Amino acid sequence: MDPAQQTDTAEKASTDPHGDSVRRLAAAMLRTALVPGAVTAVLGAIVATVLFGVSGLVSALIGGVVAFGSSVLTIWLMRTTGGMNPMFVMVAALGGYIGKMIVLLVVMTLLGWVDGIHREALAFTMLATIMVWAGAEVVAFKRTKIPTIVPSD
Amino acid sequence: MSNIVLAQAAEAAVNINPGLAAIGYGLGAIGPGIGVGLIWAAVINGTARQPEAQGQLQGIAWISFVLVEVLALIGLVVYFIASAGGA
Repeated sequence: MDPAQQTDTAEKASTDPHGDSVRRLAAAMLRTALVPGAVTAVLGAIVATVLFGVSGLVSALIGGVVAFGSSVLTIWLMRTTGGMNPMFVMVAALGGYIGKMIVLLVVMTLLGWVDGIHREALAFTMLATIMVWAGAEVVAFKRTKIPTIVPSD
Repeated sequence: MSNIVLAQAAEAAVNINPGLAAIGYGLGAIGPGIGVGLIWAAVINGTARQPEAQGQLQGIAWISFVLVEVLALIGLVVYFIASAGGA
């Protein structure tokens, strides 16, 4: 990073301390949840392959990918809205929630029509990945110290 | 004779599972929606009272948002399983 960029980053951090703390939390959540989420998806794929064969493997992988996409979207929303006015963040969070639910409903309905998809393998891998991801995010939240910003003036 | 009529009726019966599953999912998405609204309403109130705590409040709100959203995603998974064909 060149000095001008460093100064710019430092200036941004000092002018937007609230957004900075939210973005730092988002980064910590992503870092902590990535490995357990991936491990759960892979474990789900292995169990599904043993129980249901190739269709189970494909379905479990699809479930893992959908769960990953869904969870990463929340982190992205968090990073994007970090430091915004809470009223705008509320609108973004509710809009994101509605949008994500509609997209997932359409995706899951379309997947339900695909022949060869093993519903249980897909659903339970997705569920396990989402829950492990959320658990890891809570752990990251507990570990991250979020400061209360006291204005200098 | 009545068995034949019943068998014909069963054949003609529409599978209502997907419809019921979709209604269940819709109902299941209401609760988390209210929860998300309440979380952010509390953040707006908290920030108005104590602006210096905005970063901390938003952090707590996002982690609560994630947990509430998991409820909706569980509903989605149940919808996916329940919407399978067959009575």
